[in-house]
This record gives sequence, structure tokens and C-alpha cells, in this order.
Amino acid sequence: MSKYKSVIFLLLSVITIAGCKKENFVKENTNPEILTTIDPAKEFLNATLQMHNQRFEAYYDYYRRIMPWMQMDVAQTGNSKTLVTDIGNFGTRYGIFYPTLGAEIEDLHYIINTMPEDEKASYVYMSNIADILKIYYAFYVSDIYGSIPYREAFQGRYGGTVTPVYEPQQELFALWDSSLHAIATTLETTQPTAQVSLGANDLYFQGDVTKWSKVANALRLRIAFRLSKRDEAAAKAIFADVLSDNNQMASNDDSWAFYASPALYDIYRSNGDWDISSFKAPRPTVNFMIENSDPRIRDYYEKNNYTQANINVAIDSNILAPGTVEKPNRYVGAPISPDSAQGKYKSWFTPKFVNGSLILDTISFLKRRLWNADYSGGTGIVTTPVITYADYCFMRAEIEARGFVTTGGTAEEWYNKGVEASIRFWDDAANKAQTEDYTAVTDAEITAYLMAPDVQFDASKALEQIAVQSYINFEKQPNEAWALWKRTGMPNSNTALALENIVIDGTVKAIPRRAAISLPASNDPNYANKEAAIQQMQQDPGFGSGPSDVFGRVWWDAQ
Amino acid sequence: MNKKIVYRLVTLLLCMYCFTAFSQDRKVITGIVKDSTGNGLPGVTITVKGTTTSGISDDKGNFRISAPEGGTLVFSSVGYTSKEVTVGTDNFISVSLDVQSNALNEVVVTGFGTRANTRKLSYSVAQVSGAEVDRAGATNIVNSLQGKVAGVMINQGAGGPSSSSRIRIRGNSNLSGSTMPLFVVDGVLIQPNATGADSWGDARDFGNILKNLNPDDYESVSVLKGSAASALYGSQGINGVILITTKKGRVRNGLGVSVSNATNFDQAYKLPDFQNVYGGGIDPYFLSKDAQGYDVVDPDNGPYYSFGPKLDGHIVHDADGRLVPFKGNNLLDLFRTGTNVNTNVALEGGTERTTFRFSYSNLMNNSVMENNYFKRNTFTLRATQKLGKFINIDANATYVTSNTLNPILQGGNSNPLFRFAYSNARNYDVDYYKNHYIDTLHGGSIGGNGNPTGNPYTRGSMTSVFWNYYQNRVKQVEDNLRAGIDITGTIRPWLTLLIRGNFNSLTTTNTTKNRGDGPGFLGSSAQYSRGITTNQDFRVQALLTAAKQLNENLDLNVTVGGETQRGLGGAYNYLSTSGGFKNADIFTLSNSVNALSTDFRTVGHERLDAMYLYGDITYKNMLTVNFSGRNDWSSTLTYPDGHGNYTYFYPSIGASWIFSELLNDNNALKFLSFGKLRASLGYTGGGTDIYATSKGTGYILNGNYTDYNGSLIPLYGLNSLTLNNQNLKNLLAREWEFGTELRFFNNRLGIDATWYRKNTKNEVVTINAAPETGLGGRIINAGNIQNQGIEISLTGTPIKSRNLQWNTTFNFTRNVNKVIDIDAKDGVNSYSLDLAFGADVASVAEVGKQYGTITTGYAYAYDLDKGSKTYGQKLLKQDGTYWRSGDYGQGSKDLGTMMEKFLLSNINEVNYKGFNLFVQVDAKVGGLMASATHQYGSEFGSFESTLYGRDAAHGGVTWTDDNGVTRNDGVIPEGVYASGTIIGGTDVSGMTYQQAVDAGLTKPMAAWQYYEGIASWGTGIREYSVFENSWVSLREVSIGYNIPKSFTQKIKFQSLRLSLVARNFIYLYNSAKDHINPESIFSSRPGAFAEYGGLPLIRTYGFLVNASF
Repeated sequence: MSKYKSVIFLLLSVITIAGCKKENFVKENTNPEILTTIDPAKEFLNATLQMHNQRFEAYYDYYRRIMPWMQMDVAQTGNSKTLVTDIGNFGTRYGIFYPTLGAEIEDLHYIINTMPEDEKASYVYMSNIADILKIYYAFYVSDIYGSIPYREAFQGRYGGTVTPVYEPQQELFALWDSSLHAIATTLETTQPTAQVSLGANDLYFQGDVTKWSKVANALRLRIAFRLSKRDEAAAKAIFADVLSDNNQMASNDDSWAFYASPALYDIYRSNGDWDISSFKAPRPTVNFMIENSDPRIRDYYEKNNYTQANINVAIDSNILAPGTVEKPNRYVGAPISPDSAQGKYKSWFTPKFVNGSLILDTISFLKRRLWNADYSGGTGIVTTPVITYADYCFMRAEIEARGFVTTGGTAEEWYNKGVEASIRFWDDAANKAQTEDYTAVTDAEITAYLMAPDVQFDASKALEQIAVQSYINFEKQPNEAWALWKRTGMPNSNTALALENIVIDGTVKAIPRRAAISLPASNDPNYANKEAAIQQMQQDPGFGSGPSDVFGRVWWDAQ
Repeated sequence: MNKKIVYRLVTLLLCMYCFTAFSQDRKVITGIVKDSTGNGLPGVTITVKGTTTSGISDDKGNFRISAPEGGTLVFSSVGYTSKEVTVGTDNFISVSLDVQSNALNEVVVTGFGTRANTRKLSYSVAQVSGAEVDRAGATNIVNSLQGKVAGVMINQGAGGPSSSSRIRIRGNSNLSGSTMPLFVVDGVLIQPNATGADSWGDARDFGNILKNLNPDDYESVSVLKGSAASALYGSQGINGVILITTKKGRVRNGLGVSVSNATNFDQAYKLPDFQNVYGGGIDPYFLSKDAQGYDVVDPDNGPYYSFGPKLDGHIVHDADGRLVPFKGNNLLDLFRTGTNVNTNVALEGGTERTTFRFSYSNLMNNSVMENNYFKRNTFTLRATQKLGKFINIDANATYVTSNTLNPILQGGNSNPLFRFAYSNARNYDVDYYKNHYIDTLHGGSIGGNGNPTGNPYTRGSMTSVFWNYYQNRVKQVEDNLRAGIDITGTIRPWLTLLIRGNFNSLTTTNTTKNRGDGPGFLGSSAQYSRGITTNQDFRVQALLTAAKQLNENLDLNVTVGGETQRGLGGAYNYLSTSGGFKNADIFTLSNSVNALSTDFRTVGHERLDAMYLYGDITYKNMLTVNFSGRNDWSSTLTYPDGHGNYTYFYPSIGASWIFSELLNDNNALKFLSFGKLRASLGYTGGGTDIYATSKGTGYILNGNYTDYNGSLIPLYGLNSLTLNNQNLKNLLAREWEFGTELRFFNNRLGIDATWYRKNTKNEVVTINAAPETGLGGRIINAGNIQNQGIEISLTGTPIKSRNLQWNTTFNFTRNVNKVIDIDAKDGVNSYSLDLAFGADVASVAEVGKQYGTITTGYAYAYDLDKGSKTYGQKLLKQDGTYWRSGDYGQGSKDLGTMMEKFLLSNINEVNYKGFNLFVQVDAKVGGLMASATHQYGSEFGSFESTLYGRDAAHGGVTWTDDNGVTRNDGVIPEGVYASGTIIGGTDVSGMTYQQAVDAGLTKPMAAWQYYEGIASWGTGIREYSVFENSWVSLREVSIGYNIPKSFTQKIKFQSLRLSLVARNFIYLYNSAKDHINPESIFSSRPGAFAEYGGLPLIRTYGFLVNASF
């Protein structure tokens, strides 16, 4: 009897003794994997990846919206009749910035700000560089959304407002300019304390502070160019101020670009949303490049597959007439207008079936590996430009050509530098991407190109030439090509690189100019501020017929 | 702490009683329990009324028990009406028990596994016997419950035999990611999680832990539906409890051996309605002939779209250059007959002091998909031992190892059914290409990364599907050990102490062997990975129970007890090759091109302590009051800094009144054989998820980023963008339940009806925050989710004679799962539950509506101007496709709810001599589902519904195309052009398409254009593929025969039973468009409502042999 009693007693005791103490429960619910703090540079890396790892943006905003609107690609079977009206899923950047990208930069500041004072002093550069990324992206969002929350945004985690107010674009442009000015100044000033570098967490410049100060200056110019359409005087002042700084981009080494490996990092994997292989080369740019022997044609586009060998197979199959020979030029661009893909024109987009393994297709593809370096087994590196030295040169050229500021160097000099920088940048990108028939560009090709009829600098056509070359240079910056067109109206059907009118059922169509802004739902946590921002933007008649009118304009895009 | 004091008191009480001697006026009674046919009845529980003294009859029905003279013996057994006998002077008692009419079992297992007389229960409990669960040999225990119990909704898994089924009892009581009930197997708590694919459907479902339950060993399965029933289990039981007791060994002479074998065949018998009228192309005629004069299948569209010429079987020059007959394929050819063999051997034996039962089960299920199997080996040992006079030990241990290979990808481009419907013409030659997808010249698959894409049929298409299924091997092995011990001490005849310990350990090992699909069978797709997850938990419980007859009229049962549960957590370790293999086809980590990729995580810890007091008091065996109170201490509500309101109390109370006892003498009401009313009110409290209190604090490691030169950079970031909450408290659910149980005409007709209403409040949920604040959400206590419904079980015995009996049961379930509140004070009235088509369609909990409201911005846009003549018409774009509501500025539209209106099932059991026929039909009425297969299959003309408009017979309009060919496949879309639409310079706003055609402004749409418009990724209207999912299924048919004893004895068998069974035999009705498989929802998450391919309809048939020696 007593034996069993003791067994029971023992068991009960075990339960009783082990229980009760709250700290035992607390210990169980403490996640051992949570770290209290991290290197703030990690948040910079996170924000970088958040900016570049966006497959929906590639699929919708770029490949299917802005690029065909800007005649940078054409759908495989020709552009559809809903080209300018179908804006489904357009505008992913807002959701990239809010909440994630902004929160990551904000957290970088939070980590630094909660450090002891002496330690904090070592993060002045890092903190400033992070803000360049944040301003760049906020500007990129505002560029097509107009008013956005900025100063009050991203404070929810730190006890700040949960209903941040939207700020008008004009105020934001001014704020960003002064911030960037301050950032550039700080980055150019030697700090009393040794600074902690972003190092490997900076995928662009590995923490090179000088390069970031140059980027800050270049970004000021980019913003000021938008501003110039609305307020030329303010823009001029900014140009003068920026160019009084000695720290300026001076070569492609200073270009702000993102490099990624497709094999190791999944973002450029083909057969997914990143896959560009169903898009064709656009006729306007292809024709311009052929006429002027632009060496970038081989970096941007693929030759069609009418090789003599393939032609011979087709001849054997009675598909082509005997005696057909390969043409000297196998770069063929697709017509742009949806009307050019209909009816009798449809044959343009109808490849010729020869046999199970050969289909002859007249129209060139975009250079698939330039976008998807893993296309057909590739292992190269993908280049994504943000602000390149060529972009900078063309901005300088335009400043001179418009006579905004005179700071040394002529429009022609900057234009020529820009063209050369662009060719060399894309040559390098094609090389890195291991494009299948990569051939390095030669100095002679560049020299010849600069002498080509539509390229050779002509002061009377300077603005057009700068716009055309900027447009070509923006091959992988569709948003900049779009902004250029909104700002200057070029290129267009009358420029040397002649865009086509977008004709649908015989009517020339307008092209969207901004994002569709959705009316907030009544239960939106930030309803009042959203509603106020829309009201405010609607004061400007250019805003359009309603918030979702993509043919309307944001503030800088003055009518 | 008061808990400590209670424990000590209990201990003290215990010690005092142990020293007291037992009363002397008891004598040993022996006897036999028989069934109505006179055979000895084994396993009957014999209890001395008002005490906890009990015994069990042996395999011949003999029993032995000590009882006081004048005391009452209660004989009870699951499936029989219990009986009470007063102990007289005789030392031998013979009793016979009557079989109960179906579903009105009088003895059920409830609470913490105790047997209770239903007379005393104030809530509804349904019990299914082990034999019923096992009858049709379903691999998954959940599926075998389908239709058997009112109030229980089951969706079968869509991913093959390992796939987890969704089970929900009385609706979804909360917003969490799983609303499946708690399973309790001999005291081991098993919380199934939801598994399955995300809204892209592209995942294999290895199922949850329930696949490791083996019904062969089950004695009974009780379904505790309401809060009053499950109150003792706390928040773990908030979604109901499925209480399983396993078989014990019986007292007998020698060793008993029983063997059963179920051999079933799975047959993929029906696809959705694929059309076999038109083949590849978008024009209903051949565009060209080849040099030999054969019609050429359009190489651009022929391999993908099925809007081409008629499939008349004539020889054509196909798009791959082969000369083949132009005919439709049959995807069913791709599936084999699955085999499902389950063999169980059980040994049992026992003496008065010791019993044991050992069983081994082997399940081998080769599914209808090649290369997909589910195997399970189960070893179970259960032993009981009496120590001295007062101690009983009951120990059990089960070891299960299950092994699953290549479950089907439930949806997306790698699901064969979806891939067939999507961008794959009806004339695709399955038989040829399933053997011609490997690039024999280069190695790898045709079109694999770096290989030529071959012909149009191998571009994308099915090639990668075949590769995936036939060349890759993805395996999951689970080792599950469950063990428990019950030590029962009889302190006084009326006082017992039960100490119970349970342990559950699960180790899951995943291995992936993906063959390289590039040249030389290399390339980055080649992968070998190994991941191991371990998780363990245990529970110790002590219950002190007093059962005392207070006086002639009053019986009292009270239990006081406590338990502690410890989730011991575990680890997840994952290693994988990266960047492909150095050598082809060598599946090992050292074959990796790049540094191995790794992932290590901790599986979290949890602790829950509880104390409880529960019991009942019965007056004159007529009126019973039940009560319970439980206090929890939950680690999940504590914060790392030590604060947190982690303790909470919740009670329940109920009453049961057998009012028919008062009417016994009333001749006018003689037709009423039994009448009972019951009412209960139960509360359930609960904590939250492990580490939820830390959500939104600190940082975690997110693996590595590999930069362009191959360097690894560790990624650290915020734990979550959610705003942390330092004041979380417990949730609380309240449930009212009223019910009645009536039996008429000598129990020939019975009805059991229940009404309930349950509200769950203060659940810990993450709600939306304005993204501009930098927050992804906020974690708060919120919500009020209500489930209100009725459950009716109607039982009848239309025929009852000596040799023939027919029992029939109707189960009816109606539940309304309403969202009363999400978070009104913060203006939040919607909570996203699940998605379909990526994120195009969502199921949400929206205030004022039913749980699972389906909403989409890809619905039709309508003319909403009430003053307009075209009010209510669908709006067309310039090209004749429909405007999506979201794009047109009309926002998201609610299409209805995924929740069914009601469930109805009818179960029939006919016994004729040794024969037994069982037929079950069940039906679900109402509730929406979304089908990606239907949507994208319609785009390509794969389904019968897309025949509309193809020719004059199917309503097609005659028109002339751009090639000048007159054709009959014109479609005039219904609707009017949206305002501002201009065609060729003419404003057509408000004009119907027909009017525009009549005005010569446009042509009828070619059928393919119409379906492309309505169903493609870029322009499709998802509403088109959201439809009612109602069905009537002939769920189960079986015929069993008990070989007569006269024969079995000759062959030295004690019993032998043969049965033929069929499950999921056919859908008598299926409302899904194009008869999409209604049970193909790709996840068991509570809000899941969509399919993305799944499997064809599969029926199972076979035979069962049960023998004992």
C-alpha cells in the first residue's frame, strides 16, 4: 500500500513543484531566435533588394505597360487594342515603398539613433547614404502618384502617427532637393569620428562615400529636370547649386547600377514574371539604329533566324522559293500600333512554320539575355541601371543646350560624352550578361556613330538629339523614358528617331501619363488624409477627370 | 499561488484516505453478459453504481466483480443500451443487452476519455464506432467521418492519399489559420494543422499529422461539438474535439488473433467536361495543306487553343511534323488504377490481472498517379495491469512511420489536369509525349534550361509536368511515437485517483532529388536537399474523482484535477545543394556546384498548465446538472520581459432532463418512448500562438543573399512589419446550446435536435494598418465571430423483424457563420482569409456578412446609373472584352460566401441474417468555389461550356473574317459599351455589341476571342469561374457477410467476415461549372475556396476480410 502511495505522491509532487512560477512560462515564450539589434547596414541591403526584386513590376509596369507605351517593346502577336486602356495591375511601386522599403530605411535610422552617442557618430555617412535611396524611391513613387506621405510616414513602429498626412509634390521636391544638398555636403565633409562603411551590404558601390555624393548630385539634377517643366526658375537655381559642387559623376565607374547573378539569385529567372522572351524589338528604334549603325543594336536586339542554313531547310520544305538568300540585315523591328497587328498586317506577327524544330520568325526579339541572363542556360550577370554616367551627361548637355546655367563644357561635349558613355555602358552590360553573340564595341564604331547623320551634333537640333539619345540610353529604365517623353514630348513622330502614332481602329490614341490613384475605401485606416490629398490634386485641372484617370497629370507634368 | 494550495490539499486528502480500511460488506459476483442472440458479449463495462469500482467482461462475456449486497450493477457497452441490475443474494448474474437503434448510443466516451451515459449529458455528442470508421478502408480517418455526424463538414484533400482533409465542426469559430478540431487519441493531444498549396496551387500536400492515425485499432470515435462538451480541453478544443479510444486486450483463455485485410482500388473515373468536338487552332478550318496534301495544324495556335477544326479523326500534318489522326485525347489514360492495401494483425490476451493487445498494420497506397505512394506502418501495444487490489495501470504505445513519395502538385502549371486544360489543345497526344519529353540528344528535358525547345508541343506545355512527375523524387518520412500511461488508484470505493502521462514525438524528414533538366542532365534545376524537423510534447494530468450516491435520489460525481502540457519544441535543419550538380544523377550534398544552402530554425516551446473542477449531480436518474470550471496558465500570453496576463478562468453549466420519466403512466403519450431536454452554456478561454507576444519586436536572420560574384551575404531584418502589442489577453468563446432527444413507437423513430449559438471574442489577430505608416499590420485582441445553427439527426427503423432490420438515419446541418465584428473601434471591418488566382479573388471575413465572403475586383463591371436605359448591363471595352469592376473604378464585388447553406446525409443499414448492407448518400448545398482550371481552361476552349458560339448548333453567329472566310463561330457578347468608348471614330457608349455589329462598326467576336477575353490572365473576369459548389455524393456502399459460426468453427476460425465496399462512388449531382471536381480545394486552410487543377474524380472500391482465431 505505502509503495503505491509514494508513487502517486511522487507524481503529484513533480507536477506541483514544476508548476506555478511565472518565469517558467515566460522562458518558454521567449523566442531564442530574435535578436535585439542588427548592423544597420543590413537594412540598407534589405531596402536595395526590396527595390530591385520586384517581379510584378517587371511583368506589369515595365514589360506590358510602360515599355509598349514608350515603344520599347512590342507584344509577340502585336500590341493589343486595349494597349492604352488596359491598366490592370499597373503601379506596383507604391506597394513596394509602403510599407516595406520605407520601413527598412526608417529602421536603419532607428538602430543608429538608439546607439550610444559616441557610437552613433560613426554612422553619419551610412545614415545619409540610406536617405539617398529613400529619396530616390519616394521620388520614383511620387513621379506618377503626385502627393504621397513622406515626413510623417513610417513612424507607426516607433510610436508615431498611424495616419500620416500626404504632402504635395511641390513641397516634396523642395524638401528632397534640400535634403540631398545636405547629404552631399555631409558626405563630402570629413567626419571627426571614423565612419563605419556599408561595405558588402552596399551592392552598388561597396560603401564608397564619394560615389554616393556624386549620386546625390545626379539625383538632384534628375528631380530638378522634372521640376523645370513646372517651375523653370527654381530648377535653374538647383542646377547652378548642384554644379557648383566639385563632386560630379565623371565616368561609367560612377554609374549607379545594380548587378545581380541570375543563377544564384532567383530574380531574373526566365519562364516567370521576369521572362521577357515573348516581347519583340520595336521598329522605330531598330530602324534608327540600323540607319545610323548604332553599335548598341547587338546589345539590345537579336537578329531574326533567317540564316542561310535555316533558309535552306525552308527551301527543302517548299516553304521558301529556291534561291532565297540571307539578307544582310537581320534586325527587324515590329510595328507598334495595334492596328498594325490586325487583319492583313497580322502576317507580320505570324511566324512561318517549317517543321517541328524550325519556325522562321521575321521580327527580332529583345536581347533576351540582357534581361534574363539565364536565358538558354546563361550564367551571366544582369545589369539594372538607376542613374548612369550617360544619364548624367545628357542632363548636363540639356542644361547647356537650354542655357539654364553655364558652367563649362558645351552641350556638344556633354552630348558626345553621353553617347560614348552609353555605348560603353551597354557594351559592358552585354558582356556581363554573356549575350550569345557578344562582340566588344570598338573605338572606331563609336567615332563613326558620332558622325552618323542623325547622331552628329547639330546645335539647331540639340534638344531633339539629346532626347533621342537619352531615350535610346534608357533601354532598361522605362520610367525615365516615359518621364522624358512627358517632359519634352520627345521622341515623337517628327524626331529623327520617329516614334509611331498609336493607332487603334484608325484613331490616334493618347498615352497614359500617371498611375491610377484609387479612391480610398471608407474603412481605409488613413481615409481622411488620402481623401484630402486627392481633393488637393484635383484643384489642378491637368489632374484629369478623376483619380483613376491615367491620362491626367501629376503636378510636375504641367500642361 | 492558489493552484499550489489545491495540489497540496489533494495530496493530503489522498494520504488520509489511503490509511483507511475498506468496508467489509462486499462479495464477489460472477456472471455473464450476452447479446440479444445469446452470444457472450465481450468488453462490457460493469460498474458498481455510485462507486468507481468497475470491471470488464472477457471475450466470452464472463465477468467478475466485487459489490455490496443491495448495490446496483450497471452494465454498459458502446452500441448497447445499458442496463442496471440490483445485487441480490445470488452470486451469479446473467444479463442480456439490447443493441441500440442507430446513432442513439447510450454510452459514449466524453470529457477526458471517460464513458458517460448520455442521459446525463446536457450537450450533443456523436459517437461513431471503430467498425464504422474502418468499414470502407479510407486511408484518412477524417474522410471516413464524412456525412456520418451532424454538424461536421469535411472537404477531402485534393493532393492524393497523403493530403490532409479539412474538417470543421459547427463552422469556423475564429479567424486563425486552422479551425480543425483537436484530436485526442487515448489522452494524447493531436492538433492538426492546415496544409496545402498557396493561391498559386503549386505545392505538394504531404498532409498533416492525422495521416499517421490508423483506424484499425479504434474502439470508438466521439465527436464533441460544443463548448460545454469541449470546455475541459480549453482553447485547444475551441473547434471541437474528436476523441478516440483504442482497443484493449480482453480477458480470455489463450491468445486471440485477429486479422483483417482491406484491398481497395482507386479509379480516376471522371474528368471535368473536356470537349472533344474541336481541336487545335483558333480558326474552325485548316489554314493550309502540306506538300502531300495533308491538312496542317496551325503551328502558332494549334498546340494551345482548341477553337480549331472539328476533331474528325482524319490524318493531319500535326504541328510537330508528325502525321497523326486528328482526335481528342483522354487525360484519364495518364492515370493508373491505384491500389490501397491495408493489413492488420492483432494479438490479444489477458488474465484477470493483466491484459495486452498488440497490433501491426501495414498500409500501402499506390495512388492513381504514377510514382506517388503513401505507406504507413503502425505498431500499437496496449497493456493493462492490476497491482494489488487498488491500482490499475493502463499503458499504450504507438509507433507509426509513414512514407510519402511525390504527392501530386495540387495546382498550377505542374498539375497535369490544370496543364491539360490550360494552353494545351484537345488533340495533344498524351500517349506519345509522356514517353517523349526527354531530350535524348543533349540529355535533360526537351526545352530544359539550355536545351532547344523542340516543337510547339514541347514548348512549356506538358514536358515539364512529365519531367516533374517521372524524373523528380520528393519524399517525406514521418516517425511518430505516441505513448501514454494511466495509473488509476482506488482510494475508496467511491474515490479514485487517475494519474495520466502522455508523450508525442514527431520527426519529419524530407528529401528532394531533382534531376537536372539541362544538357547532360545537369543545370541549376538539379538538386538534392534534406530537411529534418523534430517536435515533441508531453502532458501530465492528475484527476481525483468522487462518485457517490448521496441518498436514494441523488448521485454525485465530482472530479478535481490539474495538468501541465509542455511543447518541447524541436529543430528544423535543412541542407541543400545549390547551383546544380557537378556530376549528373548523383544525389548527394557533396555534389553541389556552389556552397550548400542551409536553413536552421527552432520549433517553438509552449507551456500550458490547468486546474479544473467538474462533475454532475443527478436527481432520480432524471434530472442532471453538469458543471465545469477550468483555469489556465498559458505561456503564450507572457512577454519576454515577464509581464503578461497569462491566467484565465472559464466555466460551463448545463442540465439534462428526461421528462418522459414523468409520463410513464400516461397512456395517451405511450407512443413517446423517451424524451429528453437539454441546455448548456459553456465558455472557452484561450491563449494565442507561440511567440505572438514578440511579433513585431527584434530582428531575425533571413538566410543569405548570393551576390553576382557568388559571395554570400547574410540577410538580417525586422522580425515582422507588424506592430507589436504589449497588452494581449486571452480570447473567450461563449456557446449556448439547447437540444432535445425524442424517441417514439418503442424506439423505432428517434429525433435528436440541437440549436446552438457560439460567439468568439477577443481573438488575437493581425489586422490591417495603413501601409504608409511602415506597418504591415497590427496585432490586437478583436473580433466577434458567431456561429449559429441547428443539427438534426432523425433515426428510424422502418423494418424490424427477427431476421431483417433496416435502420435509416438522416443528418441535417445548418450553420450560419456570421462576422459580427472585426475591430470596430479602429474602423477595421474586413479580414482577409484566403486567396485564389494569385491574389485576384479573396475570401474575407467581413462585418455583417458570412465568414468566407468571396470578393474580387475582377468581377464584371456594370452600368450602375439607375437613370440609364442600360442600367444593370455588363460593360464592354472597345474590343468587346468585359471591363473588370476594379479597373472600371467599381472596386471589389462580393459574390457570396464559400460556406454551405446546409448539409444533409442519409445513412442506411440493412441487416438480414448474416448479411449487412450499408448505403450512405451525402449532400452539400450552397457555398461558392473558385476554379482556376475552369477559368484558364475556358480561355483555351478546353471545356464543353466553350462550345457555345462555336457553330450554328451552339448559338454561333455567321460572320466573315479578315481572310474572307465565312464562319459560324461568331459570339455577340452580352452587355453595352462603357461610356467614352469610341470605335472607328463613332461614340458607341451605351450601345450593345449587337447594335455595333448592326451599325457595321464591328464584327462578331470569334469564339476564341470571346473566351480569351473573358478568361485570360490579362483580361479575364474571375467572377466567370466562381460558382456554386453543391453536390450529392453516393459516398459509401458496402455489403458485408458474417460467415456462420457453424462453418467458421469447422475451419478453426472464431469469426470470419467478408465485405465489398465502395467509397466516393459517384456524384449524383454536381453543380460546378463543367463538372469541376468539387473536392479539389487546394488547401485545408479554413478560408480556402479554390481549386487549381487537383485530381480527377476518384472512386474507391474493394473488399475487406476480417478474421479472428
